[in-house]
Amino acid sequence: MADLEVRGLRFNVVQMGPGDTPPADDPYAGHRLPVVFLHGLIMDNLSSFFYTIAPAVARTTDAVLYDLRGHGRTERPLDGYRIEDGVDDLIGVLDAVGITGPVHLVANSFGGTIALAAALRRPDRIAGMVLVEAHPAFDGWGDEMIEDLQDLVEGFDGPGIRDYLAAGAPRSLRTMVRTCEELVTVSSLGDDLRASAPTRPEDLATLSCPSLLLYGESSDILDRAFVLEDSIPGTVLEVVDDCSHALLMENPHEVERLTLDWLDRQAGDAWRAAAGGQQAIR
Amino acid sequence: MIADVIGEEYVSEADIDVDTAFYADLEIESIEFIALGEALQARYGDHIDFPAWIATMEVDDIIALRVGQLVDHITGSPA
Repeated sequence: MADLEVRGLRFNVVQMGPGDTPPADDPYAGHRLPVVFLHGLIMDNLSSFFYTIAPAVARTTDAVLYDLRGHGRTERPLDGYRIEDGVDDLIGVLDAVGITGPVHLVANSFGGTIALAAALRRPDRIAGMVLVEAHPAFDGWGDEMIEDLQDLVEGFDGPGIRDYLAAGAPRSLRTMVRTCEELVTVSSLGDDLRASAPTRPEDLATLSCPSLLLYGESSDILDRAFVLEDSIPGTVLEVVDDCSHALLMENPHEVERLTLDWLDRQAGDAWRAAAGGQQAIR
Repeated sequence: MIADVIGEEYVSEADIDVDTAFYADLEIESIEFIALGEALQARYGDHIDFPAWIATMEVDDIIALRVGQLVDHITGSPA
């Protein structure tokens, strides 16, 4: 893992992929855009993609995983948690790793919130996206999210919980609780999410990059998936049986299959476009 | 190297041998295990390919990993 300086903060970044030596069995080698993975809010970090679908993607495609500000092993400043800041951080990470051309985003939950905003604001850098259980920042989204997070943090004061955390809880649980509390009650995350510019369905109609929506059949935000499906031109919605909002962890194999398939289609389109161009020159 | 990743105070409490389990015994966190893998790859060479090795396992297998299995992977990988 490298620590990269982005916008004055230390970001934890992992890069993987074939680099200059793509696998011999890849028919679309040379036509694959880099993939950047965006994880979810508070209790998530780059490991959720690292341990599930990223290595399979990285067999054929250069991939970048990074911890969002405040998460994982990236620095946790007190402020700068608006969705717009997330987009600026993403572009900053791309600049820091030397990627100047467009990329594909694979994003989970709040990562998808950032991805949608990035695709709208920086269509020059975002060539397409796979949105896993994305939380579109429709009106009122910030308030709802913060109320849920505050309920979670208040739950830590339930009977016996503090004593358990101090005495015998696993280290990872103590870290998770500390992360929640610092982000929700100490940093400006709550205020920043509320203050973020909302995404409107009519804005999404201007998107021209291809996208894939992956949601769980029993996800509590499936209704938003249908709005995205209706609003984003050309998008495809796949609903996975027997899965909730935790789709990535509940059925990583299916998320991997659908993602690899979509990435192959994008690479195939690029390959055909290049082949067609060569024929036209002849 | 393990001490660098998870902190000296945790390592000194445990005798680390090939049967030491990363998650159950050392309480390593997912993100720290990745850092360990990257540090090992930097030390011993890219032929170790930590992500590709992780990709061969289910999440339950990763959680049950022991130090010995990581050692075997490093020593068994062709240089």
